[in-house]
This record gives sequence, C-alpha cells and structure tokens, in this order.
Amino acid sequence: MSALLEIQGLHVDLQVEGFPRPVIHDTTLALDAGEALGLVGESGAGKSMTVRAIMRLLPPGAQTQGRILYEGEDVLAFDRGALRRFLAGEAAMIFQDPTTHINPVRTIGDFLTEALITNNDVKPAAARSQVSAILEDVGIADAERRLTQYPHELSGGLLQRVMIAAALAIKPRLLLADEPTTSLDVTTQSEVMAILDEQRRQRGLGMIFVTHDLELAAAVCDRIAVMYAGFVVEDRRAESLHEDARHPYTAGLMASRPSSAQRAARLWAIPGRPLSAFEVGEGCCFASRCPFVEERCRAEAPALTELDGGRVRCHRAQELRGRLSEAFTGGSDV
Amino acid sequence: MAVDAGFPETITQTKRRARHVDWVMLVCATFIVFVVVIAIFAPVLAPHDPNQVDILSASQGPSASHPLGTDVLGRDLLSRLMYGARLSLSGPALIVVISTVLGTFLAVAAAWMGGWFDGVSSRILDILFAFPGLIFALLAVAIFGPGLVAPVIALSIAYLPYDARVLRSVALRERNLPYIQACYVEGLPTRTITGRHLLPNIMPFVIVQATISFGYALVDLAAISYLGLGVAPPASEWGLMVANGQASILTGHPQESIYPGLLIVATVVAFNLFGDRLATRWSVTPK
Repeated sequence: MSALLEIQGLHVDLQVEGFPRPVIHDTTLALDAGEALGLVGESGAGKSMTVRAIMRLLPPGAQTQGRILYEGEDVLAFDRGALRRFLAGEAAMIFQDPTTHINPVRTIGDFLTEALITNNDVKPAAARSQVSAILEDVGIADAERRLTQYPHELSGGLLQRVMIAAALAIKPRLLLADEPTTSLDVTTQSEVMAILDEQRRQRGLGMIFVTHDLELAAAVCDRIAVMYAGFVVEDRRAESLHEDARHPYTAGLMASRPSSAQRAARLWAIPGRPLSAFEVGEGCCFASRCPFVEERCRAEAPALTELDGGRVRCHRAQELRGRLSEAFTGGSDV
Repeated sequence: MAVDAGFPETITQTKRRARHVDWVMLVCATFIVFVVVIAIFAPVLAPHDPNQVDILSASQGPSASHPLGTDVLGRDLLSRLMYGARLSLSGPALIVVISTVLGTFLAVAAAWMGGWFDGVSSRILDILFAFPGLIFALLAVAIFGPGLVAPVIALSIAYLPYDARVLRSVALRERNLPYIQACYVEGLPTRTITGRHLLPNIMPFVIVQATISFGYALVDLAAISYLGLGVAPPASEWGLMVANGQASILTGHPQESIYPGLLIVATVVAFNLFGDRLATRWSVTPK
C-alpha cells in the first residue's frame, strides 16, 4: 500500500521575539490510507505542531523545512487553490476544545452545512439532510432539533460529536485529531472515542491521533509514534510498543504509567524535566535524562533507524534490546 | 459589570443583566430618537417657515406664536432648530457611516492579511493621526470651498484612523480565535470567513465605536459651521446659529445662541453616554 501521507524530515522554526526558535527538529512519519497513527509525547514535544503543519495552520512567521507529501504532493508547497481543495475535501481536523472552535453566534446546522454549501456546491436542503444523517451516525438522536440549536445549548460531549460530524461531512481521507477527548470528562471521553474510532474504521479514513494517553492511543491506533523535544524517537506497531519498546524514553513512559492491577506506593517517573525542542543541543535529545547515556550519545545525534519492524532514534537500541524494561521497573511493582 | 472576579457569568446572571433597565441609557436613547424624529419630520412639525424674515417681530422672547422666540431677523427659532437638526445630524451621520465602513473594511483586511498590507496601512493611518480632524477640515474647505461636502469628506478621513485602529486590534484578536481557525481548516474561502464569521462577531465593537464617534463628529462639524466654513448662511444649522446669535447676546437677546448650543451639548452627551453604556452592556470596551 502506498502512503497516504508522508512527512519527511519536517523541521519547524517559530519566530519568538524576532528570532527563530525550533519547535520541531525532525518529524519523519508515514501514514497509509485507512491506518490510524497515534502521536504521543509530553506537552511541548511537537505533536500538535506537526498536525498543524499538515494543515498549514502554523502561526505567522513560522518557517518549515522538509516535506509533507499527501499522495505524493507537497502540502507545504501548495498554492492557495490547491491548499483550499486539500482542506475542503481531503483533510479534516478535530480540535481539542469544541466549545471554542465553533462560532458561538451561528447554529449547529449553519456550522455543519457551511463547508458543504460553499465548497462542494451542495444545495442547502440537501446539505441539511446529509448532515443530519451524519449526526445520527455519531450518535446524536434528535438531529433535526440539534441543527437549530446554538453551541452553548449543547454539552461538551455533544459538541465534540458535532465536531466529528463536521469533519466527516466533507468526506475526507485524512483525519487529524488533536487531543479530541482531553477537554471532556472521563465517561464522555470513552463514548466520543468509541464513536470516532467506529466511524473512522467504517469510512476507512487515515487518522493521526494526537494524545497524552498511551493506553488510549494503543487501543485505537495501529501504530504509535513517540515524540520527544521535537523529534520522533520511536515509531512502532501499537501492540509491540507496549511490550517491547526499543527507545529508553518510550520504555520510561511505559514504566511510569499507573497500573490498576497493582498498588504502587509511589508512581515511578523519568528523572529530570522534559526538554523543550529549542533546548536540545548536540547529541541525542534524551541524553540528559537517559539512564543508558554514554559519550557518543552526548556528542552525536542518532538517526531514526529501522529496528525490529519499527523505527527508533537511539545509538544503543540494538544492544539494549530486552534490558530496557528492567532498568525502568524501579517503583512500579512495589 | 456583571462579570466579577473573572468568573464567567451564569445564565441567571445574564438574564438578570438583560432584564436590568439602565435608566441613563433609556433616557439617552429616548432623546436621540426624539431629535432624529424631529429632524425627519421638520417640515410637518415646524410651526413656521424657518427662513421667513419678519423684521417687525425681530429678537422677541417666547410667545404663543414663537415658543422659543425669534432671531435678529424675526425668524422663528423653534422652526430653525427643527430644520437645523436635519443638517446637524445628517452631516455627522454621513461621517460616521463613511469612516466606519471604510475603517471596518481596512481593519478586517489588515488583521486578516497581516504582513506588508498591515504594515503599510498602519503606517498610513499613523500619518493621518498626525492631523487633527479640524485642521483637516479647514484644509479641505480652503481647497474645495465652503459647504457641507468638503468638511464631511475631510472629517471622514480624519476619523478613519481612530475607527480602523480600534477595530484592527479587535479583528486581530478575533482572527486568532479557534473558531476562525476551524473555519480555515474547513477550507472556507477568505471572504466567507471574514464576511460571515469574523465581521458579525466584531459588530458590537463597530456599533459602539460608531455611536461614540457620532458625538465627536457632531461637535467638530458644528465647530466648522460656527467658524463659517460649513453650510452657507440662509440654511439653518446649529453651529451656524450659535455663531449668528453671538452679536445679539450683547444686546440682551441670547436665545439664538443658547438654544442650539444646549442642543449640541445635549445630543453629544446623549450619544456618548449611550455608546458608553452600550459598551458596558455588551462587555465591549473600546480603546
């Protein structure tokens, strides 16, 4: 299968007080049609920026290097027309906070049908019936009534379903979900996530799913890419990442998850604080916190290389195979 | 303000705020409507022809036939005030409409496009700021001759930077809100995003700004007429009446200056207070 989306060596600098400051050093990813890729990492690792770069939604003054190929064409080189066609019919985005991403003074119906009417020349009546069918798909029962309501009349969970419906309405092939459930409470989260997952599978959409939640990413994604300080450090099939991480950072993340099966006196944490992308110097981005660090790691940045069916950015990945999990079992089994 | 300590207000608070009658605002609004209605229906309401000279009843005090008395030429002051309202209000109205429409357009364009357009337009507005509106108007009158057209155009240009600057910052803030980004992500064309989403959401600011500008425009235009650079004499206009009545003040007949003067003050205060209260009510703070 050829890749739907391919990000090659994406590097992004933002203007901070007139000087460029890197937020992404090197994102290299591929997404097949119909595949779900989880993008996980701590705040500031560059997950959202990667997704925003795909939508060309970076703040003014941002400079990009590298390529983002959508079906072989570079999104970063699109002119206005191509960009609009891409946004209007190929890619859709679901944001973290639905309450701020919908114009408060327009009805849900207006919000959902607008893109169809303006971009796809659908007649208003036809757009309305299409949209209410999609609302039923995302589990909103009285769609007709909802269409006449305003955003403030709907709960966060309902509103996020409306956002999902809006994304699905344009019949995209690529879905970008930027922490779509973070702003919702836990029970609503699982409902919304189930709907998103089901609809994505039914429609065969490729999805990049940005989240902090490793468990959630593993549950809904085929593959997971871990980001740290502006680098993709590991990219592996979701089921093998869990058991068998190859990067010390990923192994550390796995070890610091709370477990519902065992009581832990104290939750284990990776020592040190997460680095921002602009603080990364020579050498490996994780060198300052890595228990396996050696001279070479501080001097020379490792490349993202194939290992055991995935890719990992670590000099010692090969020799550390199987030893990573022991090193991180510090407190979690107590 | 109904919002205290940074907590978003509850629905009950919003309803209470909506039900709360702001008497100052109501009085101002009533006065504005009153003046506007008189201006519109002046030909029906005025007891006399405003330009009919009657030397025999010159400089009279209030009487049954002339409720506010007459001027030095015996013209009925009440009728002149009523007709004067037409020019005195339509001038500022034109100024406000022209400067607000242009200002909003410029502000939205600058906020949306950013980059060189924003830079160039902001610098041009900075240059316009350097000229006080009155100086601008005097210059225009010197070039195009007296009348209403030259000062109206000059003041429209002079007011443009005030509107544009305030609205640009509002539009810029609105433009970066997530819902506008969501529109962009949906692939909506720029004119749809700005026209159907951004503009309606900055309308409260536009309306408040226009209301407050109206007061200033009225004073400026009255000042120009007072200096004899606005409308030509037989026509009645409040600023012109104040100027014409000046000589009679010394002879003990201040009515021709006093009534229009009071009207100018009252109208300006009404518009300013109304705009100010509206800003508070809509949680919109200009500047």
